[in-house]
Amino acid sequence: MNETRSVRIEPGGDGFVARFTAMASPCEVLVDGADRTELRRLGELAAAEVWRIEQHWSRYLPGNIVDRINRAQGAAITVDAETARFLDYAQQLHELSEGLFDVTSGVLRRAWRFDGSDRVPTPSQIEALLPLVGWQKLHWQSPQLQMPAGMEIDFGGIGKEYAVDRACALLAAQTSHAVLVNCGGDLAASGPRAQGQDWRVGIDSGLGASSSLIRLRQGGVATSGDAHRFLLKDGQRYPHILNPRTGWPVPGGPRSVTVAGSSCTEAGVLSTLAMLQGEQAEHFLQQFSGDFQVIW
Amino acid sequence: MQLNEQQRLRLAAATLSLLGVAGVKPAAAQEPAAPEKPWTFDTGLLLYKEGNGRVQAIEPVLNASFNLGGERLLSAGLVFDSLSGASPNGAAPAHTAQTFSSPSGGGQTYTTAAGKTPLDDTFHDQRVAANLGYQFPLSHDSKLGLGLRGSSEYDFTSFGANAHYSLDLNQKNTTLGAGVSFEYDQVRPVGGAPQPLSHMGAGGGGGDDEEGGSSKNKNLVDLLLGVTQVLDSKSLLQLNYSLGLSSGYQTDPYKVVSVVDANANPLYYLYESRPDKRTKHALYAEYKRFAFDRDVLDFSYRFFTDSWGINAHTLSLSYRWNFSEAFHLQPSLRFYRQNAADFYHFALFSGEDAGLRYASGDPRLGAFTGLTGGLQFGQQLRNGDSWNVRLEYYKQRGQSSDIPAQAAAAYSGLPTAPDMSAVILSMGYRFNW
Amino acid sequence: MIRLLWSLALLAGLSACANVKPWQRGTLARPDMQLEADPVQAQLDDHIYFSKEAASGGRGFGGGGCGCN
Repeated sequence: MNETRSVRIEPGGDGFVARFTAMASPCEVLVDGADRTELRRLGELAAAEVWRIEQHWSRYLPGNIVDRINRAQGAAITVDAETARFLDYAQQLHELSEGLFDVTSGVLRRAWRFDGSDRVPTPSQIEALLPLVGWQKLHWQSPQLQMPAGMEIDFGGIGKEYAVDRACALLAAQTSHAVLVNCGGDLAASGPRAQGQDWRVGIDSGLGASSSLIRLRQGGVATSGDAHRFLLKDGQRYPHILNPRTGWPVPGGPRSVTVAGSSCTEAGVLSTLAMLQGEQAEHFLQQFSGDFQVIW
Repeated sequence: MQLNEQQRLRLAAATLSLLGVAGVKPAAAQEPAAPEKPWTFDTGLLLYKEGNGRVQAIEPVLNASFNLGGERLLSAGLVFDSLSGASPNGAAPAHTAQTFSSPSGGGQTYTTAAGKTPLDDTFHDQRVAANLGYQFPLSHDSKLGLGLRGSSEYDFTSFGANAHYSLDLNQKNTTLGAGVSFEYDQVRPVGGAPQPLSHMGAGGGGGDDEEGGSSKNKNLVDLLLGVTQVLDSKSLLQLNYSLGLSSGYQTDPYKVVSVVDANANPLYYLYESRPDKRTKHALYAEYKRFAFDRDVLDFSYRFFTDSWGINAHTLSLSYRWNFSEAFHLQPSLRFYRQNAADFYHFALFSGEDAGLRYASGDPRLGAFTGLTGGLQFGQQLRNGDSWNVRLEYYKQRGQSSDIPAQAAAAYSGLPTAPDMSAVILSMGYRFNW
Repeated sequence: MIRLLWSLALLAGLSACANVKPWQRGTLARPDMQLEADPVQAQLDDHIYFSKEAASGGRGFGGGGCGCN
């Protein structure tokens, strides 16, 4: 949270880019055809919105809604309207994914530390945490959330994608130019650039040379998987995306999955679910006609 | 997992409703924070009224629990109970008017008309009961609850303590429970505890302190063993066994039994006498099922047997119809049947009382069938509070038993199996604070 | 005693039940699916029937501490 709260206007792309740092990622805002003054105004607006969501839902900020939910110790908490919409969404995702997408799975991080080492937790460590995981153990009746003590919710899995979509929609309402917001490879575009050109964005998957270029007209792109966040033991690679039902990563899956969707949030959900398919990741993504890139 | 076309559309729709909110508000337009609510208050009020001017009661209940965090819960409860009205004194009806001495002594009497079940209408009582509890986890799959309770009436004081342990097994599909409860009761009958099976003096005070003063006590130990099993994603079953051991003074100091002649004429009345020891066993099964993806069906059965010779069956059935998000209607039915205790006598035939150790004419130890029908209406409010109101009708239908054969003919025109009915209205309100 | 043995046999049979995985358990977590969904009503019921009927126990420790029986 010690990121510097500043928006810089720097040369980039075909002209200028507004850059700031949020959610532990470098963020950039591109506005097709805007001058520096308008870019600064829109860049500051986008940054304020992403920072607001970051503050609102950070796991580390005492007193915010996530902190109050996580420290409620079984008491019912009345949440604000935005969090309520998000919880509704989390509930639908949990149902739709048959439990693979679960905002309560963050407690598993107590056993899993993806620092590139070989420190794989023991089955009993995972077994001990599993009673604290499971959306179905919550009682969610908007706007009240009641969660058994010891459980935690965490919007980190999809919060950044949501913030990118929000910032993009906010800017689109403020300008007639096409806008693209990108935070660490999760990005959203409000529409095609002038003369119907695609946005072309380099996605740095963290795998060195395999940085790739993605073309996007409108919608979102999200990437799951991270070259630096995994464990490696006895030749087995443990990616950092965990199956909340078992508490374990799905072995044999790709290192990284990048998916395009109608929004960054939707793309984020699909890329996370794809990572949880293991060897079936590509097959899973082929079921629908979306652009994707799987790096093994 | 396969993501079919329909699921894809649902994902798209859900995402749209998350993001596509009308009017994207800029930063700083945030809702105010909501307060935390560690307290839960569970309050209730019971209004109970029996037919024919018999017992009526009003009973407010207040339970509060405070969530200390870490699944630790502190709770306290308070109950007031105010009763008045007439209650059967155990004597048999007769063809003539009968006069009994009032338990309050001082030469006061009350008279029962010919052909009527004798009722003691001097009955009135106020009771206050309090309890404290503390529940905490012992490990991630087990917890312990400890409780203390006490109650006081003008002639009765009770103290109790209990502990209950539960253990989750098998991914919480099975829960084992074990509990123990101790209770110490002291009764101080008005005018002293009468000597069991001594004559009730017509018009005289009941008190006869030969048996050791005015204060009597008893001890109770209860054990409870149970298992709750999840049957499938929509149903569960609980099975319990409970054992109750009580010893001490279990006689009702205000109840009598008639000693009669062949014409059903009362010759005199004896204060009742019950054994000092009682062992109770109960087996209880409850099945709960979520039906039609909306409602809750609850069925329970209890078999009870004790060392006094009483066997009882209790069946309960309720159906919670969640007819909308917030409202429910819950009809319920309860059936109860017991046979008479070994020492229950509708009346004793003259001479039968000689050498008898135990006898009671209390209709609650006689044979009867009870039927309760009820309807509850409840609402879950938007702020998380909930309330409900329930109206019930309880009917006890007596079954004639243990009428002395020599007087059976004379009793044919008298109420030997009186009915009792009651209307029960109860309300509850639950809120967090 | 025979009844007790019979009930233990029933318990043993239960362990053969299909396991419900935690993520399938949303329904069982509903407040109205709890065994003691309405503790105040249960408390009032226990008190009434304890004072009017000879049988007690089975479900829990409710109903006692009353000079009414």
